[in-house]
Amino acid sequence: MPEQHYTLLAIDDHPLFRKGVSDLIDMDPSLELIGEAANGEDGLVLAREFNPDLILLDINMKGTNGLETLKAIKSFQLDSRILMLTVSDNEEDVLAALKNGADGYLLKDMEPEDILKSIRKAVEGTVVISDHLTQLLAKALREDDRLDTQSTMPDLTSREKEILQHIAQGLSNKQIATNLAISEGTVKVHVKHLLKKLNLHSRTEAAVWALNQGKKPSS
Amino acid sequence: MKHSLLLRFGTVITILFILALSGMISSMIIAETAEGYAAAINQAGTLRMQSYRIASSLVHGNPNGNRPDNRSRLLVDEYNQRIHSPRIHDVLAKGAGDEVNNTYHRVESQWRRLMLPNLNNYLMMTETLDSTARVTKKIEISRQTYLSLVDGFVDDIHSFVEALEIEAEQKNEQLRLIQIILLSFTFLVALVSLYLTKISVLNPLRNLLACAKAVRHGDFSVRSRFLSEDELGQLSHAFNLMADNLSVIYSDLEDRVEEKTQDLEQSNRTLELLYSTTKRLSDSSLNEQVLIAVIHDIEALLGVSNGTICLGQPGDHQAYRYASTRNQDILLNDHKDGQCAMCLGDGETHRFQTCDPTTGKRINIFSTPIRDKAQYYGILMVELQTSQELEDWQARLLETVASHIGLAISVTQQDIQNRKMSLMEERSVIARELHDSIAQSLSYLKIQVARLEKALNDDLPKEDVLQISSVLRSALNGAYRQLRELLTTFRLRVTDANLGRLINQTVDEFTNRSGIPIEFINTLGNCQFTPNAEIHIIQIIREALSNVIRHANATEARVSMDCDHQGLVTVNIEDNGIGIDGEGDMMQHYGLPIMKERAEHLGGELRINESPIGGTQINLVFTIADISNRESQRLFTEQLKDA
Repeated sequence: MPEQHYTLLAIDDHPLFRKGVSDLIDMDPSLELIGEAANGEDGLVLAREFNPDLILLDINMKGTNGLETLKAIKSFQLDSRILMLTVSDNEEDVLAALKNGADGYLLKDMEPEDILKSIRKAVEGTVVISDHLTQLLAKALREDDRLDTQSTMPDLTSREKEILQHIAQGLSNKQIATNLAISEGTVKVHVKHLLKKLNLHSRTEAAVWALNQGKKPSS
Repeated sequence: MKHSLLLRFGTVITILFILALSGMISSMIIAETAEGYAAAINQAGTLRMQSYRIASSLVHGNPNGNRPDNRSRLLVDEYNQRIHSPRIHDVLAKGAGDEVNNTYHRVESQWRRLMLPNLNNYLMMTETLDSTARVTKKIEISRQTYLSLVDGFVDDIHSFVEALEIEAEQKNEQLRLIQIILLSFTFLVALVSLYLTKISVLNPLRNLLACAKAVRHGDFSVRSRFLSEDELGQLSHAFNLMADNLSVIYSDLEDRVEEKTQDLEQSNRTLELLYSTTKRLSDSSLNEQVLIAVIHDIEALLGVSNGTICLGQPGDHQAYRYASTRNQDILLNDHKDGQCAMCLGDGETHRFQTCDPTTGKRINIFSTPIRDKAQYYGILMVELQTSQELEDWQARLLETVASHIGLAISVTQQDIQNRKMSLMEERSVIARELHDSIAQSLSYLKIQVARLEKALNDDLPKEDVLQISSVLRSALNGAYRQLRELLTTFRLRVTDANLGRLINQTVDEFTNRSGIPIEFINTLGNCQFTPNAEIHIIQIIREALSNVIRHANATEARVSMDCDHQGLVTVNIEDNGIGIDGEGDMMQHYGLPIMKERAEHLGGELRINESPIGGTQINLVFTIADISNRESQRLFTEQLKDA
């Protein structure tokens, strides 16, 4: 099986860090950095031009910041997965990023090897979140009003529950489709339904929510 | 009116008038009678002479008796007329004295009965013209008879005249007596009236005058003593009433003045206390000494004893004793539990009683809240003497002082808050600077280490490994350099707040470090920058100067800063070196974008030009207004979120 090849775009206002990311990506032959942007506007242009598999996005940038850029990219319905790669471990930033459809949230101070691994996971469709952020996320979701009312599993169909389990394991739609022997489109529809039922914004939230449910003593 | 002065003086004048009138009338009457007497005396005198004339005419008129004696006849007729003349009769009719009447009647009867018949006889004889001897004899006899009688008759007339004279004299005497009596009466009345005037007019008037004088000099206690029933008495009454009223009004005014004076003194004291309190509270930062001084001021001005300031919320059982002039907790023995609740009360001014733990005496305590509009901080308490009652104004004053203290506390807290804010702003600037430089470098370094490990693990050729390690080395050096620059900058920030001076120090530092003379031209004027903007400007200058001394091979450099009246700021860093195209290291390569980013942060831009003195010129242009408060606003809201 030939090595899958993925294209990446880095949007970060720190030149030295971009240089570092480029060096890091060079270490993995299956990944190719096809563009760099120092700000959100340029990044958006490049993203629309190249439609890369994965966009690495910083949050704290001058001008258009990462979250605005994220919304803008999402609004263009690109297939690119978006991975936040930032210094900020601010809870609000994390939640805002995930609610706005980021597919992962990594901190710059992770070990470079872990960053590389996470990038690889992300391009394969897995939701990746820096370890010490998951706790924070879980807590935030627990406190979220929308989830207060749902102490138990709402009326999900068995298929939806199944898919939620897979999402919780961090699998991409493609992988879920393969595992359940259904088409990727069907998976997408199911995911949409279950998100609506759970009143959640993204698969990430769904994953975290499911993990959270698992931690609760079953009633 | 009973004892009217007018009536009295009228009476006196009437008496005097009557006296004078009676004097005049009596003298008129007496003069009238006296006048009759003189005529009568005169008449009587002529009677005397007439008797003798008759006698002489008898003797000489007809010595022969041979013709009628007409002259004698005439005389006798005249005599008859005279003796009955009205002059004499008038006197008699007017009621002359007995003596006069008697003597007259004697004369008249003598005349009538003796003399006249004799004379008539004689005259008749003579008229017969008979010159017979008998007749002649008879005539002679008549003549002789008359002549013999005439002396006696004249004597009688004489005594009549005398009686008349005496009577006239008496009349005169009477007149004199009446005059004397009337005069002395008049004199007496005059004296009496003088005395009365003195007693009932002069004295009261003098007294009134004296009283009026006294009143004019402000003595309202004088009263007139002359309170008779007359007009002056009434005037005195009126005067006394007026003095009474005046003294009432005056004392009322004096009371009011006293009251106003006290009010003023009170206001003065109040103002003094408020002034000293405000001054104390605003002159230095709030601490125990200042508050104790304030409490001492209160004690001195209001005469209360120990004051205490406690911090706490109404209903708390525990409070913090912030300042007190009492050296022992007053509620030590009393109300052990919830002792503070008693003082704190329900957040309003209140009074309560407690025991002095040392003397066991009851003490009244006045407690008023220290608070501002937004917040309750605690209470101000003062202890009152046993019998002491705080007046309203004192209570109000204490409340005001308490509110001043509240204000001071709130200002202090605001101050601390502001300092915290600016500290946080500083910190966030530092954090961002660290993030923008050191954190990036560290991430980069980490990645390089990962590469190095991988290269070693993959047994890559030595050149590759060395290449990575040289990158590592230069990145590390760069990181160090950044760290040093930052530390220097932040140290500068702490010591001095004036940007011009900060840059001057920076320029000096680089001059000393490199030996290259660096000129600094500062025409910033009074332009003010946010701490953030200052950091950016300093860091751009440091970065640029660092490039100058490390890569440009320059022999001179110049930093110039200018700010025009519209807030357009220009910063130039120039050198006469080899220009920017020379081979810089990697860190310089990444330094320029960072400089540009800083310029963007400032809302301006950074250009790299050729310098007029031959090397590179870094030119930064921005407008103060554009370093939008957006920047600090953003920081501010971030801090609020964090807080």
